[in-house]
Amino acid sequence: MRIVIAEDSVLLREGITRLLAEYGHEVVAAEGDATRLLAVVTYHQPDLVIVDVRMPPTHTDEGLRAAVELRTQRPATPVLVLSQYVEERYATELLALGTVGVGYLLKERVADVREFVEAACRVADGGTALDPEVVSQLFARSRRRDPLASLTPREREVLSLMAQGLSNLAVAERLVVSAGAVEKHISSIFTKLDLAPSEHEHRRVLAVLRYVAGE
Amino acid sequence: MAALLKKWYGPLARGRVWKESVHLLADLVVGIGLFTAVVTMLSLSVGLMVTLIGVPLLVATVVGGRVIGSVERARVAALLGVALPAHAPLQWHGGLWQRAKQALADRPGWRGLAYGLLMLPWGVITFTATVVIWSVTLSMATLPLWGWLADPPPAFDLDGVTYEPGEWPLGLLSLGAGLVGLLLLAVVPRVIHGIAAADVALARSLLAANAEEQLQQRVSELEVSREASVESSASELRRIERDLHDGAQQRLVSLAMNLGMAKERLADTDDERAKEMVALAHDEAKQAIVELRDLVRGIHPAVLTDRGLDAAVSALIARCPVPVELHSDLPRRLPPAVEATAYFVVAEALTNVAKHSHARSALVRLVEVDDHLLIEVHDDGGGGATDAAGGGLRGLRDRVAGVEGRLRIASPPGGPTVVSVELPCGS
Repeated sequence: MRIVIAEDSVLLREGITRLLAEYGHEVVAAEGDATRLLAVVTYHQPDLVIVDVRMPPTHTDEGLRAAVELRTQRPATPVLVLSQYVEERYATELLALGTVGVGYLLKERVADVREFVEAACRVADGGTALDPEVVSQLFARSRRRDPLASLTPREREVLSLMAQGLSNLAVAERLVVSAGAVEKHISSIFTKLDLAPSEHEHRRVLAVLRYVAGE
Repeated sequence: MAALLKKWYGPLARGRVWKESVHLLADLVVGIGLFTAVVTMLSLSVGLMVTLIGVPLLVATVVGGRVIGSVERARVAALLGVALPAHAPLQWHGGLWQRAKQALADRPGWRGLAYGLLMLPWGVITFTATVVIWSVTLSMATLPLWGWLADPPPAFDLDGVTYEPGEWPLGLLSLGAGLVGLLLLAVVPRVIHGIAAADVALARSLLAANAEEQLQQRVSELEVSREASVESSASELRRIERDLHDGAQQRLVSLAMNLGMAKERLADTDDERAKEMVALAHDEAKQAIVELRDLVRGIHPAVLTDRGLDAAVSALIARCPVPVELHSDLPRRLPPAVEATAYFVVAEALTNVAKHSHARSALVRLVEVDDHLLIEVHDDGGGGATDAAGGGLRGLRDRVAGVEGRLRIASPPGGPTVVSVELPCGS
């Protein structure tokens, strides 16, 4: 797939480009700051945009602002946000515009090369990729603790992986159980949390996130 | 004898008496100038008060009073050798009208004007006294010389007696006057110095900052320098955080990524030893990233700079193993040093809650009231928290004191514990 990267560290910009090339993806543009991101994306029409949160000129959160702007202007463009820190507040801002084709990962997740590329592909396909750390922060912040407390440890694990954006199959692989077992856990979770069951994975992620964020 | 001469007449050879005399003579000139200027300006401004020009004119006059003060202090320092403490500069801010009111209420300015008015009568006194003292003394001391230097005046008759000047008893009289003049000459520097001291006293009473003002000035200087040092240490921490973020953290991520790629490549080979070593290195690199991230977050969390206290405290709460509720009502961003202190207060208090309290739940409250940030951390744990030396809460107390805040800990045995902190955050 064709990817645009915005990352101010040359080292990482080139590293990520190399890594993606290794898996057969093409980086069509690599930007050092976020100011021209929208124009570059409009020009290249990439399948995925990868943005670092902290970039020049102010070195605070312009990457995130650019990502939010991008999702507002071009909702169909999948965006994967990378950051040295994950903050629940940033995740909430990013997810406020929906969970289709969006990802928010700790930067260090690029070290687990295969998982990172999988997450990138998932986002590009319109899925979700949330860092486990974000998910656990969202869980901790959830204003609806009591129903969450009624989940078994295994169900919490499944819920957490779902919230990260993993498909049923991927959850099954991660937990080394059968897909059928995962299905059973999921329907039990949805019953306990009183969520409307849905066949569509993306919508289920959305439902879970909505629920956890307490909207 | 020489010692006695030196003691009595030495002061004449030193510059002080001359400088003081010049100063006392100049007092009259200065007095005439200042009196004229002050009276003119005051009557002009009062006269023009009905039109609007009077107000700025009066403001200018009062500010002029300050100028008189600083010029005169400089003159006193230069000629009388006394450095009078200056007033703190006029603090004015706000709109034009507010500034005008502040200037019109400026005591140093008005005192400068009063000094300008008093200087005329005082100058008349000092001028006259100085001229009389010097001319009488010098003419008496030099009287005998005149008999030799000048042609003797003609003889004159008095009551039928003919007197020849230069002869007895007039010669003796002039010699006596000369002796008295010489004695007076020894006294002159002391008298002049006495008048100069009165001059200094006048200037000190009207132009110098008094002890309370000086103390006030010192306090505000110290306040400024303390704020600057708190702010500079906070910005230093932000800089360190930035440097680590741009440098070591990126490099470590890159290292871990390269090791990750190497690991993937090796997966297809059957060099088990190499696989094992690379996997180990990969794990260590990832662990180092996590440790460095935690360390940097402890120095200064980026989200605090980006999004402020509320967001940063939310993140703290999200990481706390004990369920915490956040009540936050902060309509504006606070000064960076206050935000940083508040953040560390909450961080330390929550660490305490998690480590020692055995609490089942906690509550963090952040409110801004009357330019003060109030922070409260409640927990339903076992109590007994103290700020004993070396503990985390003690460090907190020092940190809070650094921004002039107050910390209270209420933690009876059996609980609950309430840590409350008040930080001034006036703009």
